[in-house]
Amino acid sequence: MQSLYEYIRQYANVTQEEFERIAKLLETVECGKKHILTQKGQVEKYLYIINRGLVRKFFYKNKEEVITQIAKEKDLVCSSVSFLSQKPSEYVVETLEPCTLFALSYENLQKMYSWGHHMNRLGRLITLDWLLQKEIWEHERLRHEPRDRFIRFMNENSELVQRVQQKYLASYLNMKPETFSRYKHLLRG
Amino acid sequence: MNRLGRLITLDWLLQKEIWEHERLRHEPRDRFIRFMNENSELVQRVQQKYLASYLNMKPETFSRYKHLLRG
Repeated sequence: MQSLYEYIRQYANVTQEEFERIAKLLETVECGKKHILTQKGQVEKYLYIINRGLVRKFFYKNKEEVITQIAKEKDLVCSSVSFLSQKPSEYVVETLEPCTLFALSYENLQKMYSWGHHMNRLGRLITLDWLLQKEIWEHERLRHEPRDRFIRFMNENSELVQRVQQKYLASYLNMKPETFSRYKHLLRG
Repeated sequence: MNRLGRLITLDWLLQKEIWEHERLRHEPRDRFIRFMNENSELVQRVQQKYLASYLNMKPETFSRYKHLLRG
């Protein structure tokens, strides 16, 4: 829970007492790899904060899986549109490694917001950061050709490269696995 | 005001996620048809080259698809 306290404190000054109040609303989830947290068609019940492990989010384009997020420690992950709108999910959320997650239900999030402006401020800052990451990633994906996208991503995410199957990284980078393999020589030497 | 800001930011994020899904989910041809059907007003007001860029396709591709709307 200490890591969660640090995570929240990046965004707002929350006292130990307030944090304990928040912590009581969280459920700790332990699960193995390839565990489906949210299935397509289900309404997303939880927002997850990853304490340990990796989670991917994807949708099906015909039969192909298209990955839009690979989340690691201290990242937030959920089928966000479904969670926020409480409508059935277009996405699947699945663990890639054994995970420890802190899960905040939609009801408990609303409860937190009812505590007052301080919690709304925390929510606003976290949502804003999420939006910024999304804008930056969109720009990255549209701005760079596949070859440059590959080099930039691999240099900035060397840890993920060790932990995630290549076919998943390729999908996240919006390229074919064969293209991904072909680019690998760019990293040597 | 924090609540207002939070809700506006949230809606912005949602629109962004929905548009990302739209762009990744559909082939250019379907993206074109869906967009043109849902944004007929923009189509009247915005130059084609700008619409093509927004839809992540070449202006020539955009022109080529226009026959799909007739009839």
